[in-house]
Parts: sequence; structure tokens; C-alpha cells
Amino acid sequence: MKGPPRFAEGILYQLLERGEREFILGDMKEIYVDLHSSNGRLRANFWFWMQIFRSLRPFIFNLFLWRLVMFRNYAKLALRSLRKHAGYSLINISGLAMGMACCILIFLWVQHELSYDKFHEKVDSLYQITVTGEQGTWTSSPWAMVPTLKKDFPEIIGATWYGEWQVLMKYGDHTYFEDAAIAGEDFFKMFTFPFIKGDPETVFKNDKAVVLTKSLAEKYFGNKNPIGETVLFENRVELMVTGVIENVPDNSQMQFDLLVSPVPFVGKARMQTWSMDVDAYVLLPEQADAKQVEGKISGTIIKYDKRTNHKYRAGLFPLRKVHLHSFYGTDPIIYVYIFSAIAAIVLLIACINFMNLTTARSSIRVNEIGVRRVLGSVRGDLIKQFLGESIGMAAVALIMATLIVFICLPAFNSLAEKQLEFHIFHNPLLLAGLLIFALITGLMAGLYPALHFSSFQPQRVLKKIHSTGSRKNTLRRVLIISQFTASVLLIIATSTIYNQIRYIRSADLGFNRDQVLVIRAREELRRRYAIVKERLLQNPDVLYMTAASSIPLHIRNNNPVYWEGRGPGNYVHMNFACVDYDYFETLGMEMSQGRSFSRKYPTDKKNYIINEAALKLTGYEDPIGKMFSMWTDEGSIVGVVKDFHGTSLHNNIRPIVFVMYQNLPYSYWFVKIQGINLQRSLDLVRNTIAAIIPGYPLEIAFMDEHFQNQYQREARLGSILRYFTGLAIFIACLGLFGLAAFMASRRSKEIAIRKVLGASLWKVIGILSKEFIILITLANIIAWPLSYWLMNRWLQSFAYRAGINVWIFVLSAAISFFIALLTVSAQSIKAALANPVDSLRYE
Amino acid sequence: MKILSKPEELVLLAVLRLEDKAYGVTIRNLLINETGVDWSIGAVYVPLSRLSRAGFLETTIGAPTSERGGKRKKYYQLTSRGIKALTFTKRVNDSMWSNLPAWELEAKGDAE
Repeated sequence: MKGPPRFAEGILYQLLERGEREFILGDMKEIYVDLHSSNGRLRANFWFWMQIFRSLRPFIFNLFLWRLVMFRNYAKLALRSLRKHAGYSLINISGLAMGMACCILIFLWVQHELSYDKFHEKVDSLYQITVTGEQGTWTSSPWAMVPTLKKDFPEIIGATWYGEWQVLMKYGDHTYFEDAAIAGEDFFKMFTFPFIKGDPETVFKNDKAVVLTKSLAEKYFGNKNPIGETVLFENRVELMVTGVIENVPDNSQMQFDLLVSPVPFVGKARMQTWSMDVDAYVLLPEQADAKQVEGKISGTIIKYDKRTNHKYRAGLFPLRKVHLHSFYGTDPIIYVYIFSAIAAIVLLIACINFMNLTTARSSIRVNEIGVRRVLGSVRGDLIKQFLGESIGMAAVALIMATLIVFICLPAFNSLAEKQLEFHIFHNPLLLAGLLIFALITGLMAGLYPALHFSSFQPQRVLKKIHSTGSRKNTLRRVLIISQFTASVLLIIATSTIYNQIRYIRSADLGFNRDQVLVIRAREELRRRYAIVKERLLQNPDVLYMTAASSIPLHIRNNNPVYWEGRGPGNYVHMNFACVDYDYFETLGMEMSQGRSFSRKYPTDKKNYIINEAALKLTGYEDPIGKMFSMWTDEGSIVGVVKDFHGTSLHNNIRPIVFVMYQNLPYSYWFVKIQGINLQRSLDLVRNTIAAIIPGYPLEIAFMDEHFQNQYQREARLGSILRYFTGLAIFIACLGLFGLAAFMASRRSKEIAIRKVLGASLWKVIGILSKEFIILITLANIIAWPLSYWLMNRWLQSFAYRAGINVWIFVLSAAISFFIALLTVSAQSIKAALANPVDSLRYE
Repeated sequence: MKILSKPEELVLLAVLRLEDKAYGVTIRNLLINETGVDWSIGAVYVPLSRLSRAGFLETTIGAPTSERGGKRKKYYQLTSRGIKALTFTKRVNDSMWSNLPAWELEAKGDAE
């Protein structure tokens, strides 16, 4: 059977008027058959299609014309209603914009955190060497590990040391402290640091070579070609510049301004040893199975390091995870989660606001809907109108949000200590996310009014017999409850975190960190310890001075020790610090037993002081005078110092042993000064040292600053969190404000009648506020257990925690009630004070 | 009385001429043959349906035939109102066409 194309026929069927379909299609088919037999199939088909296109033309024209006309009408009405309720509109759009802006900022932050080290081309094949012993896992590995791994395992195609230090650099007459890092020959084969000058293959062929970053090269040499120039390193070695690389990106875990070979740093002898004080990285082939390689190399330290019968196992840790993982205490990734959660909560609050206000506002437009329906709008038109309007508003909010981000980014950067940049068009993920997000918010906000109001019967709408319906109120109530649940949650979280940070910062560390100056002593200065000490102590402002191998906050080095009952072949590793006389006095550490090191006993140079944690480990009942030994230097315990926090408060107190090898250089000096005039004392120390070594760039800080630096991350988190919590509550209140105003205006007649019948001001306020009070109570009840559970989990990451106080819950409830009532009552009072005549005049 | 438009007039005349065989296809064929211009289906149907609604045409449904794919025909016939409208239009046409000045010559002159 010859017939016109089915598809074309289908189109026609859809286009034609229902009553005419059959006859017209019949006619067309007849003509088609006629054409088919006289002119062939092709011609007939062509004719048939042409008929469709020709009849489509006016159809399309009408469609677009009417679309355009209606769009203008919709846009006009939308703008009118925006202008008529300018207050609501402003609250609505700006609330959403703030929420979005906050979300964008956090997104940028999270994206930056997750981008760490991903710029290395071989990031997926790079691993950090870890060492696991009885005390846990750490990243300091033996010097000899790097060459041994390369020699023994062909699957390790690259290996390098890596360590960061501050070093003294001299060029011409200028001396600077620079952030240096040591790197082996394979370094540039493994990591992606693009070269500007020099050949990455050969830069470390010579040990006395240094590679500078672009900015450092400019600082030293200006426009001069730096290649071949020499700089003096640590006042000891002349190094030749062999390469210049691009500045290290700020999302690199490794941060340095210059790279040197380890040889001038520690000397070749040290590099053959198995003492663990340098990081190491290896490169595996692309397809390598890291687990398998790890299994092969794990016994390396046991195989070669025969000094003691330890059980150290080597391991591999992927570079891509290094930034957000910590071997000591909490994984920083928790902050990424916390921040993402905050962004989600703030956004949720803003979204709910938008939905609530949009829904509320559209219910005053039922008249418009009625008129539209009478004039022939079908349901689909109304749905399209409402959705279009709310999506349009979300889009405006998005534009505002990007503006806010542009304005706030510098402030946020200084708060978060980052250099985030906002290039919306270079960040396709963000752009797509934002657009989709605006669309979804618009849809969600518009969907309910669109579906609900378009279903009204026009005559009922116009005669005002429509009911506002309890369903809608339920929805709105649920939304307000979730909004305030989120707000209360944030208040509790912020207070708990703030409380914990304050607890840590003011925690009794077991030693005095006030009025103690810490001086970093290098080569040149280190040799003048005796003379500096003597001169300083002549001044009454200086109470004590001592020196040690590390700051008491960072006692991490460990050595094998044994005591009675454990032979030299049965070592345990223990953290240790080498100290000078007066150490415990300067730092205000208390002895629980025995005495501190004293000049009266010359043998003290071979004696030991341990902390209480170490005492517990030894099991001595009466430790004083008992045998103790580090390496093989047997001595006796002369004192036990009370436990103090030698590392971050994330961790428990570890066993520590103190020794007093006089011949070791002490890198850190501690000066206890009078608390009367800190500035004068500080100047005194500076001047004294300047008189001894003129021009020495002194690194000096209060112990407290070192301490606070440890908790920078927490402190930063705390302050960012505070801002965002404030913002979230503000947005929630904006919504509540708008809603309260709206409800008061809806009930203005009721209020007027109540007032006429004798209701008092307070009664009216009570009526208007009652609902909100119930909702906020419910929100608090939901938020409490939830936040308790969440904050408890966060606190688990601290070994020492402030705990969650009841007052935090009480406070958060009080704050939420206070703010909500303040917002609502402003509207209630306004409504209650209004003259009833004004509301009742028109009916 | 309403003056018919040209397509309406032509369509009415075609229906009149086709007597009891006037349906979409035959009307269109007649119009194409007489005017020498291709009439699209729409061009035929729009005046047809307008005239039907105005009460100038009445319709009867015919039997389905196989060459139309089993679809029925709709036959058109003039009503008395249709005849009246047609006569009126013809009278107007005739009177408008009479007593014209020598326009043919001028038109020729323009064309050259």
C-alpha cells in the first residue's frame, strides 16, 4: 500500500484540528496517491512535506509572537510585584545571594584543599616513605633508605630525600634566611617543577649546587643571569646556581625557595647512616601495585639497620593523600568535611528562605491568577509563569552572589590564609554547579506555588472562596523547623569548637610559656652561647637562660633506651631532648621526684631526667638513682619531671627523657624575662646579641607564639566558622522576618477585630508569636541530640578535650529564641499597634 | 451584507460548479486548473471552514474509500445564504468593473 511517510502524517495528525483531521488527511492521501502514480514516489513525498512546512509557517509565527507578547506581560507583572513588595523581594533575593556566595567561597576553599599536589604529572605514582614502629607511624625515614631502595628494587624507578629547613644565605653583603629544601638527583624526574633556566637532568650532578625559584633569583640577582653565580650557604659552603624554576604553587605540600643537595647540608657520612631524620619519596612505574611494592620494601630497615633489634617497617603513602592526612592526631580532611557541611547547611537555610518567601508572596497573587485564567491561560501557562519567575529570581541572586564573592574574596583569603582566586569561567565545575544550583533552587521554590495556585478554579479564586489550606502551612512549618534546626546546630558547633580552641590555648601545658623567649640559634650564634648567657644574666630583667635541642612543644626525635631489667639488646624508643642547666627552672617545669640537673654534680652530664609517662613505662617504684641508658651511655635517673605536653594536644603525653651532653650544639635558646616590661626586655636581648654578633638576623619569638602556631588551623577554622554561623543565622532571620511580616499582614483583619473587641497589645503579640515559639522549640529539640552526637565525634580527635557543656545547649536555645522573637516581635508590635480602622475600612 | 474575499468567492464558485462532487480534492483540483496557480491544502481549507462556520456552506459526510486510506470525505454544498452572498459579491464586482476610464491603455504604457 502506497502511502505518505508515516512520520509526516503523524505530525499532520497532531497539528490539525480535531474535527477536521480525518477529512483533511483523507484528502491529502488522495492527492498523494494521485501524485505518486503520475510523478513518482519522491515527488509525492516532497509535496507532502512541503504541505506541512507551508502550514507550519503561520503556526510557528503565531507561536513566537505570542510567546514574546506573553513573555513581556509576564516580565512586566513579575517586575511590578517585585516593586510592589520591594522589601520582601530584597530579603528574598539577597538572602539567597548571601547563601550562594558563602557556598562559592567554601567551594573555592575545598577545591583548593583537594587540589594539593595534584599538579605533579606523576602524582598517582609518587609515594612518601613511612616508617612504622611500636610508637606509631611517621614520615621521617633513614638517610640510607633512598640509595638502598634504588639499588635493591628495580621497580622503584626514582627516589629522593626531601626535607625543609630555614637556612642562612649570603650573597654579596646581604644575609638572608630562606626556606630551603634538600633534594636528591631524581627530584626533578619525579616532581613537576618547571624549569626556566638550567637543565633538570644535571642540576645536582655537582653536590655544591643550588636551584632557586624565580622570585628568589630576582631578589638576589635582579635581571642578571643567575646561572653560574655563587652564594654562601650557612656561612660554610659556596654553592653555585645551576637552575631557576617557577615559583612553587601554593597548593604544593612542599614549600621552598631554594633546593640544595643534601651533601653540603649534612655531609656524605650522615647520608650513609640509618638515623631517621629526613623525608623520602619514591616513584613507581605507572602500572605498579603499591601494595605489592610496599610488601617487598617493608623489611629493608630491619635487614640493614643492625644497631638494635627494632621492628621498624617501611611503608608507602600516596602523595595525593599527604596534604589531608596527618600521622600525628587528626586528619585535616575533617576540616574539608566540616566546611562542606557548613556550606550545605547555609545553602539549605537560604534555599528554604527563598522557598518560604516565594510561596508566601505568591499567595497574595491569587487575584492575578484568577484574572489570567478567566482570560484564557491554561494551567501550563501559569505553571510556566511561576517557575520562570522563581528561576529568574534565583538567577538574579546568582549574579549578586558572584559580585559578593568578588568583593569578599580578599577578606576571606586573609581569614583563611590562602590565595584563592575566583575565575568563574575558568572553573567549569563551579560554573556548571552554580547554574544547576540556581535552576534547582528556582524550580523548588516555584514548584509549589506553580502547582498549587494553578489548580484553583477561577471563579472561586475571584470570589475569594479559596482556602489557604492547612497543607501549605504544614510545609512552611516543616521548612522553618529545619531552618532553625540547622541554625541551632551551627550555634552549638561553633560554641563547642570555640570552647575547645580556648581550652587548648589556655590549657596548662605543665610548663610556663609566658615571658619565655625562644631564640633559634644557628652555627654562628650557637658558638657564642656561653658569652650571650653570661651577658644576659648580668641584667636583672633576665631571670634564667637555658638551651635545648628542641622546643618543648616539638619533642619528636627519638632514641633507643633501656633500663634495669631490659638489656642493651632490648631497646625501646623514647622521645628525648638534650638540655642545658636551668632548663626546668626556665620553663617552670616542676619535679615530682628528685632534682633537676645541677652544676654541683659533675656526673650529671651522664645522668637522666625522665617524665612521669616514662617513669610509668620503666616500672620503677623508686626511680631516683636507678640505672637508665640511652644508646649505651649508662647513667642514673636523678629526677622525674611532672608530665607536660610535649606535642600537640591532639595526642596523649608521651614518655620523654632529658639528657645533658654538653658537647652537642643546642639549636634553641630560652630566656625567661621579667614580666614588667616585655618590650624593654625583648630589646635588651636583641641589643645584647647584636653587640656580640653585629648584623646577625636574629629569629626570636615568645614561646606562646610557637604554641599558638600549633593550633593555627583550629583557630582559623574557628574564626571562619564564626562568620559563617553568623551569616547562617542572619539569613534564617531574614526569612523569619519576611515571613512574620507576611503573616501579620495576612491576619491584619483578625488582629483589628480582636483589638476592637478589647484584646491588649501583649495578647496580640502573643497570638502572632505563639506559632514561631512552638516551631523554634521543636527545632531546638531536634538539633540538640544531633549536634551532641556530631560534636562528640569531632572532639574524639583531641586527646584533651573541653567537653560539651550543658550551658552551650542552653545558650544556643536562648540565642535562637531571642533572635527569632526579636525578629518576629518587630512585626507583631507593628501589627498590634496599627489602628484597627485602617485594616477594617475596606471590605 | 458581507462582501466575500477573493479566495472565498473562488471556493464558493468551485463548490457551486462541482455540484454534488465538491470535496477537498476536487475543489482544489478545479481551482488549480482554472487559476493556473498551485493551491495548498491550507489555502483551500481555511476559506472552506470559514465559510462553513459563517453558514454559507453546509457539509455532508461521505462513505470511506480505500484510496483515502479508509478515511471519509466531507462534501460541501451552498446554502441559500451562500448563494445570496455570492450574488451580492457578483453585483458589487460588476458594478465596480463598469464605467472605468481607459485604464488598459495606460497600464500598457506603463508596462513598456
